[in-house]
Amino acid sequence: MDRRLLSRLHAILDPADVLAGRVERLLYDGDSQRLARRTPEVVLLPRSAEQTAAVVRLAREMGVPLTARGAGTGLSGGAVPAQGSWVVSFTRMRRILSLDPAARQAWVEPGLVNRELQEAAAPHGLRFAPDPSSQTVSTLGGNLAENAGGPHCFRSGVTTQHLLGLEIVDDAGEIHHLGGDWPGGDPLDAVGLLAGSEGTLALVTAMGLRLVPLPEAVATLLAPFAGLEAACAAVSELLEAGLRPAAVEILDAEAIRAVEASVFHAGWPENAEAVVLLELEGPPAAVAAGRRTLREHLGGHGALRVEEAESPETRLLLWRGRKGAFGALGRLYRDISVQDICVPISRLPEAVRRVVEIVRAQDLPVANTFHAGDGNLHPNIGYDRDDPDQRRRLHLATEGIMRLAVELGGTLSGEHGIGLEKSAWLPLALSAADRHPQLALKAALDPQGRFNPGKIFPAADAPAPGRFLHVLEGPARPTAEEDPRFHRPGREGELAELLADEAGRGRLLLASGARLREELPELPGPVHDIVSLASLQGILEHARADFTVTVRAGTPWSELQAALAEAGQELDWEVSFPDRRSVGGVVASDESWPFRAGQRSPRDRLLGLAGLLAHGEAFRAGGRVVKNVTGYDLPRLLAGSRGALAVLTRLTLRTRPLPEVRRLLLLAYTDREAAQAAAFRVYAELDDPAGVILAPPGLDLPGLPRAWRVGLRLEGDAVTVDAADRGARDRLSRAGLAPAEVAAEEDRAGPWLETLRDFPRPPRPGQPRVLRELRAGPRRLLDCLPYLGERWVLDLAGLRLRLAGEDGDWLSPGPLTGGRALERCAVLNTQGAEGPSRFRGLAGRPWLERVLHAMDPEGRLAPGRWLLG
Amino acid sequence: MAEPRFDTRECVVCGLCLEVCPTYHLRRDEGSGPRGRLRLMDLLEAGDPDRGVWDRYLRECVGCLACQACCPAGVPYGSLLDRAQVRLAANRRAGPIARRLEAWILDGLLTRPARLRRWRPLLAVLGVLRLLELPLWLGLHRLPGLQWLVGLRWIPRRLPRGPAAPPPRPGAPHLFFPGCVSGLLHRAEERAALRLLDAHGGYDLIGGWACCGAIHQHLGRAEVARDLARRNIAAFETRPGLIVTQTAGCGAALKEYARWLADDPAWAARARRFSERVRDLSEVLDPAVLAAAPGLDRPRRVAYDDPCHAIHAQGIAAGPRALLDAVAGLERVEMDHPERCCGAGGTYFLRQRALSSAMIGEKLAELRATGAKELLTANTGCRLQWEKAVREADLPVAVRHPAELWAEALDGGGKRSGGEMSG
Repeated sequence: MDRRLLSRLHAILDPADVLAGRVERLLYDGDSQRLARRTPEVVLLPRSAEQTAAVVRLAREMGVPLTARGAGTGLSGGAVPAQGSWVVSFTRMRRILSLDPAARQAWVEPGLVNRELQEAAAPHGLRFAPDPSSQTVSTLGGNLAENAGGPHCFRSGVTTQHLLGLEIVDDAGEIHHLGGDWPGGDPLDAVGLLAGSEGTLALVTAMGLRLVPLPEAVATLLAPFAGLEAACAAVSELLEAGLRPAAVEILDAEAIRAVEASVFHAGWPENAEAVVLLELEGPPAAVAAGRRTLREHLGGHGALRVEEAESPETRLLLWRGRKGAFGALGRLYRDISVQDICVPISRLPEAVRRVVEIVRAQDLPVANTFHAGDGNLHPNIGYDRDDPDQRRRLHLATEGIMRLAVELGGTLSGEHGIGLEKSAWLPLALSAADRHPQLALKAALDPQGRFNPGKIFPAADAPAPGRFLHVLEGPARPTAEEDPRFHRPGREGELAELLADEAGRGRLLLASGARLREELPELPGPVHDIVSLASLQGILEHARADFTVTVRAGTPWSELQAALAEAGQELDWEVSFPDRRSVGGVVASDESWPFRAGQRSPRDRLLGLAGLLAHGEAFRAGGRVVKNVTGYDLPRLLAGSRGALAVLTRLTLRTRPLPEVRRLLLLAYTDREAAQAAAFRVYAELDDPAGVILAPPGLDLPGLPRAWRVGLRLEGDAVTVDAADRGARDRLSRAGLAPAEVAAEEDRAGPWLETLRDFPRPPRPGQPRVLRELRAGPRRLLDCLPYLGERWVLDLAGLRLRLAGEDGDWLSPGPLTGGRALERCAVLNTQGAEGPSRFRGLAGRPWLERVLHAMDPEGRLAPGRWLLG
Repeated sequence: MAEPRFDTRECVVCGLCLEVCPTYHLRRDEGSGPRGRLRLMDLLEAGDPDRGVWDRYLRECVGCLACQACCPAGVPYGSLLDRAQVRLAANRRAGPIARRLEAWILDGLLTRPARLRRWRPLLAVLGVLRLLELPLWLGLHRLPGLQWLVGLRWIPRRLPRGPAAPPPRPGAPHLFFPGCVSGLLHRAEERAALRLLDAHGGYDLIGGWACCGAIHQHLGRAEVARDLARRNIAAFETRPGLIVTQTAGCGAALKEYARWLADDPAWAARARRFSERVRDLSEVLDPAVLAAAPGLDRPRRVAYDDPCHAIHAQGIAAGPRALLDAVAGLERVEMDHPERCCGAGGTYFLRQRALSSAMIGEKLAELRATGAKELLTANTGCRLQWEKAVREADLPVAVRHPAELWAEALDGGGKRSGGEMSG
């Protein structure tokens, strides 16, 4: 490396954090996917965000690409440097910046190892839910980059579902803060966009993470099967029957042999062709009941027997073996290539059978260890990288697996990423039209292709600056009196034509689910045309066995829920005024109220979509599987964007079985302090309640005496709900926070739920009403309650507070000024529909504006739909 | 399962070893972890010219074998490291005086343990007179080739002998293998081991034994190590019985003779038979015997620190703990990471002082957190490292071999007969 450049790097970083020697650099030439390697020009190990930013600025000045790297345990070649790249290794940024056990949140640096966070959280009875097999060494930054999952994400969700906020360095070397101390960005989930972006959009220098309580009880079952396909079929049927263990894994005979021969031997049944490993978590009573049900089910579906881990030590051993399987296979294979396709769960048996056939047809050995519950396969293919013919055959087998995934309605990668390895096959899953918005995002956020070039997208897609920006003259502004035209296309084609046609005239356009012009709220600003999607309705496919439903955007929300309920399923979140909403509207506004706990929100449940860009270009994003790291997470970005990025036409959502019981407990307290303390305790300690809310006496709950109310929503089978109910009451009593009185409601359309859900009520004519929403960390939200009067509801689990107001002023005195908090303000019409949203305290605004610009460069769509205040 | 191919290609780069590597833990760069070091060994084998870098990184490996013990693919890291050490030793630049001194100490002094023990009275007197560090005060360790004199800081200030051991019994089932340095500096520990063996059927001593060769092997003096191995094999072949040592480093080396001599047709089979007879002291003791003994006269809180050459090289971790738990009146507490290396590593503490002191520094903090009053460890290097750290930190903790405690329990004693305590 050039001496002058080196001295400039030494001015930024401690010389010990700059590895410029040939041999040292050589050690950073790739990751655990070993086919592609390239030695970087230099390896930089920054220790702060400021250093990272300075590195980016220097790289920009020098025109050098950067490849971010964690522990180098990736399996798709994501950390292989590009030609001339500098590697930025985050392993020395490994501090826990803060850990607030009661708030269940931690801020960490990206080089912290997943295990180190687990070790820090465990003494507080908490854990970080994503548990990839590499977790003992992989960094949280790496987990973020690949949107890592792991066995327990079947119950708890993948990395993106546990992110709060981020600190990033953009391509200009500027530091931005995105999101905050609450899940899901608003209005654009820029945090979610970065999850799974494989280091191609920005460098992450700090992460806010959600922690969850350790389960009260755990049971681990092992069920050997005589055949791999039989094991898969048993799992498919188990899920279809509505059983929901915390983790469902399968190992085949070859994998078991390798594990048993290694240091991880744990007494796996060696004579079986496949073993299903199941884990149950929850209150002890629920675990005991679930264990019985599972045993019966497995016994009835071909399990040779069902064993159970007797002690925590055995359980640990089994999991260590499962997670060390990749390494253990190193005993059998010279080199290993792990594939990562994800298929709809009903196709799992077929997928596994055909994957094995495809690999064997190339005369290569294969062992399977995979996350069966998610339909996420991990065929481990043995080969010898020094043998060109084996490499060729591996390539053919991999391509066959890619094609199979697409054929079965699945996706190329569930949690390892496309990386370098699969980029050439991305077009199988995403057509040029589908890649268009993705590449536009890349071009807008990293116009010079600085961050991790060569990954995700095929080489021919390499973004050139300006290539995707149709820079036309700005759209004409309508005059004040001009009344927008109201369109209600009956077909998607018509809608596309409309968009394309209007394009030439640069007209501003608002998409809406409203049937009639009169139903529209206050218009957000200058608009020429209103396009109603109300005629584009209907359920296209309810794949019951796969727990997905695909609908047209204009489908009324209640109709969809009713149709799903008939089939014994549902979408698992509530929305205010359900009878007046379309599915598209719910998704576009990320509406989930008042129980946005865990993953009960459109952002977390939207698996795939079809939509139209500003000029009518059709595209698809996501898919029908629950884990997907195939390109950027557009569904997450579009959910909640309020129509400003694209017009959504079809949506694929994740359903779940109807819970046997749905209980709303309303605990009465006479004073605010006690109510607040009780709510916070429930929030901090309960393992995955479906909702925790707090309401002041001013909220009139029909038939209930005035009191401060802590609401606790519980869902599931009767045993689980009863156990959680008892558990919560016991905890509160023990803490001296026993409620004065308890009311319970089990009806989905009960009056108390309705009051909470449809808060605030729409105004009567002539009475202005404003909806204000606050988002912040739990302590901050609770701290501001004394200032808010008595017309609000706090969704503590969702970290959101809705407040009814008369005017659109910001809250004053500003209990939320300074620090991380977001305030949204929208005028309601008499139908309860929200007018344009204004935001205060929005983090990372310049970055968000680039996202907006990427998708809709002229600002045609939903102009003023949300204002960055 | 196929025989290990003795090849860095066994590694599939899964990276699980990074978790347990003490130098990666501190440094967080590839060259400081096993995965990177295996790549460096390849370069070394291939005759890579960029000596400065791989030489430095490989020398920084403490050789704790934690990576080998956790490697799911079964990479024989220890063997690969030994092979690399031979090449590194050949590459070493050192002046003629330094080389001579080194040879005198390693190949002379250390190979004749009986003669080594004669230095004990001198060291004991110097310790009492607080003159052990005299050469350091004079600055001799700053002279080229004499840096190793700082090792004087690791010599205990008191060298208690402990209660006399019962005499050997000819024909007993255990043949005791005495460690060279432990016999010199930790006589109490050795006598305690003999007392314990006496209670388990008796022991016998044998003539003609030599240093186990661990130090030589790990410093790349493989030929010297093999010679020592042959001497020990020949000496112990004459008599049946288990070969027992209380020092983890020696035990690990003795158990490895089979591998050291695997390619020597005349000795391979004999070495295998020898290694099969080797046992760590904790492997021959019976918790029931300790449980039936009177136990300690007053309750004590102790922490057991796993020597790498016990836990990683020999897989010994549960045994000593079970034996401690059998002792009445003993409260055993765990440090957060008892399995992590203390940084002693044979001569590592002299060769890599910064890394070594960072390692013991973290362990010391863990020890403080336990509130233990005794720190037990079953290897000479680890014990010296702990003794120095505890002394310098002025911590009221006695560092001892667990055998001393077990022996006390047998006799119902609580006399502080051994161990170094400061404060």
